[in-house]
Amino acid sequence: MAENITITVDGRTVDVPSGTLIIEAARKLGIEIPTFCYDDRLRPVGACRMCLVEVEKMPKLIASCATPVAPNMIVHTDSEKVVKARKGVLEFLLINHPLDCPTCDKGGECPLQDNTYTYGPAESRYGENKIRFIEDSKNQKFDDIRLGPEIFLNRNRCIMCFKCVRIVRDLAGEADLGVFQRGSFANINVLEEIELDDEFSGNTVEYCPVGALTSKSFRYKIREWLLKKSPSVCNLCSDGCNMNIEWSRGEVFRHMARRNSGVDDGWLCDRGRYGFDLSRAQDRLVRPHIRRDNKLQACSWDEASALLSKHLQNIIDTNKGSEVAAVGSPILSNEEAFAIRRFFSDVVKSENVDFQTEYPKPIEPELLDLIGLDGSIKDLESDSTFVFIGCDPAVEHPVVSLRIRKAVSTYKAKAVFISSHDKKLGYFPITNIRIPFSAEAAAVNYLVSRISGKTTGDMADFKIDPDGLNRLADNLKNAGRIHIIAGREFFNHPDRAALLVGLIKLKKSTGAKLSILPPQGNFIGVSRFGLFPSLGHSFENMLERIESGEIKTMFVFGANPIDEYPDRKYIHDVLKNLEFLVVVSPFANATASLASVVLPQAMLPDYGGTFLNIEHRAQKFTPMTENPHSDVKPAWAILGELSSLLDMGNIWYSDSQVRKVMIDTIKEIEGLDNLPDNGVVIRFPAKDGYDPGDVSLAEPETPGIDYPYIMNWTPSAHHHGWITEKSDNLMRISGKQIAWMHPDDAAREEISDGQVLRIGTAETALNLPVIITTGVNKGEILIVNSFSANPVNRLLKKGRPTTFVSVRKS
Amino acid sequence: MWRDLKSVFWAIPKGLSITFRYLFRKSVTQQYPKNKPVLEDRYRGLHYLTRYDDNSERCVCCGLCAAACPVDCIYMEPAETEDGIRYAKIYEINELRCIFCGMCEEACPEEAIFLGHEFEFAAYERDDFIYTKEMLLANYDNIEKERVAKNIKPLIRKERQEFKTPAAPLGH
Amino acid sequence: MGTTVNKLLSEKSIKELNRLKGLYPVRKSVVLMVLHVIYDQFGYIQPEALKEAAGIMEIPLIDFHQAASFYTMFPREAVGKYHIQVCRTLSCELRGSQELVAFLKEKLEIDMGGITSDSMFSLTEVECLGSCGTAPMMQINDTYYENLTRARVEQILDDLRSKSGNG
Repeated sequence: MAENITITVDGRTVDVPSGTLIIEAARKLGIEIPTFCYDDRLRPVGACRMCLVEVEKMPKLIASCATPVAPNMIVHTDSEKVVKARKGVLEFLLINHPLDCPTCDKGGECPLQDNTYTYGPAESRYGENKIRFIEDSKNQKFDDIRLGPEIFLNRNRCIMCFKCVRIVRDLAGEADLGVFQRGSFANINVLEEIELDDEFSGNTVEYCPVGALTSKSFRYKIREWLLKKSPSVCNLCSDGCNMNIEWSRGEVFRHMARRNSGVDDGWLCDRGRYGFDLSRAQDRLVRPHIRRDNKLQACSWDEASALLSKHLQNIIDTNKGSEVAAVGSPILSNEEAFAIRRFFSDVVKSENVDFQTEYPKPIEPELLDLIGLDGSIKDLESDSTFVFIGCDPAVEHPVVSLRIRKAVSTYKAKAVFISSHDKKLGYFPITNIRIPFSAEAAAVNYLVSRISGKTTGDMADFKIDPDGLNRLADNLKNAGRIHIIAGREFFNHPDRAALLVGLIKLKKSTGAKLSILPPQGNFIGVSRFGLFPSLGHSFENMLERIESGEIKTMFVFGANPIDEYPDRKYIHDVLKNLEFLVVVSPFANATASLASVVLPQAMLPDYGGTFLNIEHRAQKFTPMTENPHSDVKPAWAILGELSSLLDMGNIWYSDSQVRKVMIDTIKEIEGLDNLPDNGVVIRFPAKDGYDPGDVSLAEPETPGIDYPYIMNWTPSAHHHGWITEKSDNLMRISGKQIAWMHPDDAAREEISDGQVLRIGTAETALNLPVIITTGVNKGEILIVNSFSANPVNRLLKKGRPTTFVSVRKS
Repeated sequence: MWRDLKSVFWAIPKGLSITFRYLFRKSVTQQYPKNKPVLEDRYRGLHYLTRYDDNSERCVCCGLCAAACPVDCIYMEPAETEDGIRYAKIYEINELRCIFCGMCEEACPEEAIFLGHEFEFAAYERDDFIYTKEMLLANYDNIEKERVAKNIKPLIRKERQEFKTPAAPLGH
Repeated sequence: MGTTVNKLLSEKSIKELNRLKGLYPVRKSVVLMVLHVIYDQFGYIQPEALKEAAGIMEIPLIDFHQAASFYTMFPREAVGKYHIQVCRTLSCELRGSQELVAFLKEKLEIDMGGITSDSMFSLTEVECLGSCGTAPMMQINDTYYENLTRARVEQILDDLRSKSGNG
């Protein structure tokens, strides 16, 4: 361990580890040194010179943000020399600053404003012309240039602190933003034809110390001091990043990071940041609807709950609870999930609850203990080898991938991706091992036998090129801390059982950590707090029972099976068989259009509760206190009201009330009662010694002549799942739905880049523009999913693991 | 008794003498509806929003007047023109709530809002006292313009903030 | 993703780039050398060639553009066969560099930063070239021309014209 050093700052001594920067030592004493370019998470550059301090026996003032402490250092942060220097620095910084605070969005929360007010000179002595960067376009002059779909830059306001460049380059590892020219003309810009649209571009706006970077969704909207802040947790992926929802008069204006050093470390991805307009999206359901004359018509809550309670009373009276099923989804809070289970088992007497509408097969109960991150999110930084199988961390877990990026870029960890298409972590060096579609199980088994020195079997069946795997196996033998991470493709994998066996064996043979990370919001929470089908039917079985007429009533909470289930036609036909379908949803969607009753559900800023993230950390989110949508309710409120109408107890008025019942029922979650701001990691006892035994691998299918291509799909970074499509911001930054194909295939089909293709099976087809790239396998077509105009699940077929498609020019 | 009587009769002419004395002095009251009062420039009446000489609005909707307002009677929503200029999409002052303290004109960095000389704006409905941007600009255009041009315009900035052309950077 | 076909870079340049590739422990350090290679081949920083070079060196393209825009001596647009750089800093200014510029503009019939129609001459201003004792001065390609007068400039231009006419 590093030894401690004692230094004196402004006459007070402080003990800090060696290597600490002076500015940090001063902060420890509560002495604030003004700065613009310093951020403890980024590498210091000493660009702004605002943090100059006087150190005794040093001839010149030094930048405290770039100087580590030395023994017996005596630092003065408010000597006459320092005060004068700060005045000088600010005067220089403001020489070319336009001082257009009235029109600038940063006004009110601007470090340049604050520091000038506190430390700066009141007047400038500079009388020359200021330098002005003007963008000429369409015969008009603009101060602001567009860097990407969401980010605008006003180079005149910039004080060249390089924070944005460091965020984009060192943190995200993208080569989008750079510094051009020099001296007074130095300016930040992007290259022509390049857009700043990586997963973390919004952070540059948040951490810009002046109003140079602005985001389109917040430009000229409102002043910072009018915004109220509700601490909340993002649920658009399972990382559980902390954020503040900033709102005024019931309208959400932005999401800002709320630093939790254990989870997000103060960063937010663009999906979480710009998804704030979801709550006032056009498709938002704000009133209950009842089907009358074969049409959904708006009605009052009283009418809707009267109808529901009548229906349920009938079921309870005739003791037909088993004819009812409830489907939740990972967007629900822990309280909602618990309330749903409670209501259906206590009141309706039905154990048919599930939430896995996206997967062809339900997850095995044993898998439940394996899901989640092995170790903490912070520990990821110290792992030395990452093996990703069916996981794209940049898309599925953007903020957690920052830890992996840091491990790769700073601590020289290795990241290996085993997948059928290329993946990347910015420009950081990673290895892609390409295998054919759905050959993950075979590849993992091959790795295991190679590492344990057994005969490796024939890989020709699976068309796997063993070179990369051999090299990986040899590396894994001597690697230090190995972390195997499986993700979305694991859950969607047609041969999941075999892949799971392989992964567990690989974990055992290498001593690695194994994490299976679900991509969706509160997946772990809803599975742990009631929605896992431990006693009743899983969603797959429910569908069969609906077909056979055994299940007649279904409640859907927050899910949208028609857009999610991997066979659109099948699920549509099955749900039509239902006598009574109740959809509780924040948005109008395809499933709601089949329903008998549609109820408006509360979503993120409307209600409070807790989520569980991938490291089982329970975190609290709070509602905004003014809400224009007075009719939306969380699931527990809806069910509590029904329960009171049915006179059955279980009446819930608040999330804390539900939480109390939860704590009484599940003993591991005592900490849930009084959650601190940074949440509490809940430890569920794991059932040890799960040995799944051997599973034989499914033989890969070969394509026919008519449908020669294998169809595979992937989410996009800014938009995935049916919910994010409702956000205008996210649709603007996510771009169009596209497909990728290999150049050889394109040459054979005489297709050029960007052409619109008809990609289809015998029954139906999608029309998509294609991009030709060597990043996908020959004979495979990769499609971006989650666009309702061309949903991929239209091509998928239940019980058919591989989808073969043909390609035609349309 | 006699003395008491004397004091009663004497009191009347004594009191009236003050009345008669003021009768020949210059009157301090004004015949208001008939004669308009003369107001100083610093008088704080109904607000108006000024314009530049090219008739564009000065207000950029920065929100400082609303922040400075002690009774929170100003509401605004900014927006952006196609040319990227910030302007007030909505700008409303609730004149019933306003206490005419003048903090807003003091706070305004663009010298856009002033309190004018207009004080006769009674109405029958409470809603009529919510002055929109158009009404405040009309107040300037119709009533205050001439006085402002004479007394106030010489004191305030004439043009929208503009930079002069700087030297070109080297190496292009 | 996708393959780049090298079209613009000469074989000599590619050979040089490959030699430079392994030379530096920090990969980014090679940026300036690569710019020199491209400058030597084209006489300016040809953007398409730079793209190819960035592909070969496996360094983000933006790094090269940042460096090229920092150093004023890498012209980023095509320049004439004779690239005239006139010093505009104090000593030369005092000794009449503005006059010199005006004369060159008139003589070559181009503006600052322009190039003559026959691609023979191009004209830019630069900061101090360290030849203050002999001001005003200009640099044409790699040669300094000092103590300039109207007559001398005229002669220099004529010389260069005739030289290239013969050769």
